[in-house]
Amino acid sequence: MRNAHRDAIKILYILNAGSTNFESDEFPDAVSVFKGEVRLQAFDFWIRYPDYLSLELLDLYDATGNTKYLEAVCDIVKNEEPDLRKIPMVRYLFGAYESLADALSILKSRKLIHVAGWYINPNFRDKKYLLTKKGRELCKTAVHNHPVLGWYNERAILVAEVAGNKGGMALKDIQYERADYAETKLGGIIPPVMADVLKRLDGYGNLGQS
Amino acid sequence: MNTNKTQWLQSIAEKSKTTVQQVENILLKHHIRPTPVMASPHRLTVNSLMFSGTKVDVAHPGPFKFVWEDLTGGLWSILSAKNFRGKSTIIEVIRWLLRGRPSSNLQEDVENWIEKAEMNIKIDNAYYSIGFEAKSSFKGRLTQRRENSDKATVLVEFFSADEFEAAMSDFFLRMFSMDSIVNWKNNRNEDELGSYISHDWCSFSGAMFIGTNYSSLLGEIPVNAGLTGRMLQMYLGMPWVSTIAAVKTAIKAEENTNRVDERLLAFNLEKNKKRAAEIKEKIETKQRELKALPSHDKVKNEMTELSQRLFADLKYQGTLTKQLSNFENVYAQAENDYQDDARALQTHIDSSAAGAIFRMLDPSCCPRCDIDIDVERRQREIDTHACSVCGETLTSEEDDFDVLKQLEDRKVASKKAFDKIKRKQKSTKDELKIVEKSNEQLQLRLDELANSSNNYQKQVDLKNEISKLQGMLEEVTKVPVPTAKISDELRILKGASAVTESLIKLYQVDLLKMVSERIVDYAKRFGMTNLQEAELKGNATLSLVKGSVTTSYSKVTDGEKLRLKVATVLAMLEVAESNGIGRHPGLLVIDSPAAQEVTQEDVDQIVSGLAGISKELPFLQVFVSGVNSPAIKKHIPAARSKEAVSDEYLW
Repeated sequence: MRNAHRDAIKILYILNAGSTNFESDEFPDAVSVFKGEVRLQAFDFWIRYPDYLSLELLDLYDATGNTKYLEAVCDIVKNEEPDLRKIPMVRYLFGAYESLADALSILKSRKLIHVAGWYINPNFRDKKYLLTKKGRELCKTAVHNHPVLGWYNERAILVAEVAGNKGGMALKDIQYERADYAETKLGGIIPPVMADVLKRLDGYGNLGQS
Repeated sequence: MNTNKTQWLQSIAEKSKTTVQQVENILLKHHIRPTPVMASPHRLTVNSLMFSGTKVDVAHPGPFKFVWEDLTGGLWSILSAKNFRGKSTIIEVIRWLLRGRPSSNLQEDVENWIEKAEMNIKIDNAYYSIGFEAKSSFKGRLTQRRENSDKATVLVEFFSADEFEAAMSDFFLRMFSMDSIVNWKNNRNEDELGSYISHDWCSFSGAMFIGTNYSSLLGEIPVNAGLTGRMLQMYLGMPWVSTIAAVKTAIKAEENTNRVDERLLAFNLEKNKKRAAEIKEKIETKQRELKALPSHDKVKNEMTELSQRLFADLKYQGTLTKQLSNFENVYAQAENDYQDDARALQTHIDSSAAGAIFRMLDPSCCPRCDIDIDVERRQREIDTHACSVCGETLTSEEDDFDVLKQLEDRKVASKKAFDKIKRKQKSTKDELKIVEKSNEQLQLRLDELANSSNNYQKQVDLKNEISKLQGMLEEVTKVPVPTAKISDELRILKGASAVTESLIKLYQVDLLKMVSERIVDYAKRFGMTNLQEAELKGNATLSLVKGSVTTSYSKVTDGEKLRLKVATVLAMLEVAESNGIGRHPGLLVIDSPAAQEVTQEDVDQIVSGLAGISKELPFLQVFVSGVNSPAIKKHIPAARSKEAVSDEYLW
């Protein structure tokens, strides 16, 4: 139950960071929309695997030269994050979805989000998650009251930057490829790639490790 | 006056401060025999001479024969008008038969012509005959015959020239009581020993012949250091002559040997000194090598110590390695635990925060159906602490705080544990590194020592070599002690020399004085009227006072020399005769004096002188050969002459 709350907050911040502005007559209190359950799952993956996120961040740094990506990786490494907040998500890559139902329920019941969408076919519903005004505001106040939750906010923003506008399937492909490569190299299932991150950081002459 | 053998030996023993036995041993060793007896004279007379053969390769080839019989004491002449008529041959054949060997004066071709020769002689009262045949082979005999008898006893037969010579030498030395005189000749090479030279009848018989070589006073004896003197002494009949000769020879030989020995000794000493220095150097080198080698014990000890240490350290290394591997497991575990605890704490914190948020927000509608939740339900929640949505029990914030504390404590604890393990692991790793390195070094050193312990054998070998060398050094530095015996020997010999010389001198002085006086007399009779004094010395030199001028034999003319030579022989014969001593056989053969230095007048004077003397010395037999001259004819009647007139040959 505790985890459900935490997960709910996490999802809330994800939706907050990864959604785009939205207005609707049907849902007058909605302020933004996050498109796709798969996209949501993809975001969640990067939240839960900081080392894989780091690899993407390093690629971004290579591409853009923007040191904020490099600094972000250094922070991750410094805070021993890969081990601290890693929550295995093995089934995700094999097609199964993590059950976000509880978290979403909590958010729904507090009218922080609306889950909309239509059934493309009886089994598949193309979901849209609508963030309400209340939800957006809570994002701000929660951090203020419980600074510890700030981590979720910042991390979600970072992940949103990495994801960009890419759709869920595209993101999943990226993640799958990364994981597959690592598995080939290191064996196991979604093996830790921290060593790789450190190596690359080393290449920049910038370990920042304690 | 006559010292016998025993007295002689005793004198020597006294002189050389040793025993008679010792003296006898040394003298025996050097073949020195006492000859204390003065020799009494024996007279030799040629009774007849014959030789025959075949002349070849000449103007008048063909057989020839020479016979001369009924010869007695007195003067005899061999004359020819011209030279090369065979005069010398006759004399040479006499010499050949007496010596057993022809001299170089006999021409070789003539020697080859002669096929047979024979000579009858008389020694004192005995008659002998010497003859040989030399046609295809050489053979001959010495026989003894009785006077006026044809019965002859063969004394010696000989079948070669050497045997002939040996037989004659043997016979005559015995007949005239002569001993061979030994002389010593040093080797030209100073480092080699010299040799003995023995002079016997062949040399001695030269005293009977006077030829054209005037260098020697006494007959034709070759001038030889010391020999002529001895010959003189012997012919004078003095005792101890051959003995002193033998003694002096032995001394020379011994000294030569000593000198050679000394030189050899010195050479060897020098060699040994060099060798010793070489060996010493070798020893020093090897000792240095030995010192450089680590002692076996030292090596062994170090090896033992190091192996023990290494063994212990390797065990420790093993322990550390095992510890390290344990740490790895523990490390992983501790890390996991710590991370788990840290994660749990974080999760709790996050969850608490999230929980707090949502708790603040009471659900206003059912999450599933969106139906609003009414007031009644809300109240029930407060009362029952059951969730109005799902009915689950609500927990209070106090519990939350406890759990947080618990989790925090757990995290701290596991971090402490993890840190401790990290520290311990690091220090173990570091320690292991150090121990590994140290063990590596130990191993290297042990390997080094193991190799060096191969030097043990080398050590043993070196020690052996050194003792061997030291042994060699000892040998080489042993100085040979010159045997006292050598100096003893020489002392005895010198003593013998002194004693014997003094004995000789006893007789010699008087004898020589007498002979000297007679020489003057005879020389005058041969026409040397201005000769005032003569002194014959023991070494057969003759100093003269001629016309108040002091001179010597070697300085006078050949003519005078001839006179003196004849005079000396005659003087010796006369003194010997009057004293009952002497060894000269009393035969004198004078070959044609050369015309240059010796004039016919010289010869005539000598012959006249001899004529007169022969009456006084009836045993004397003299053969004179020369060119016909009235003086000779006057003194030597035709009956006593073999003459070849005008172009005739004597044979």
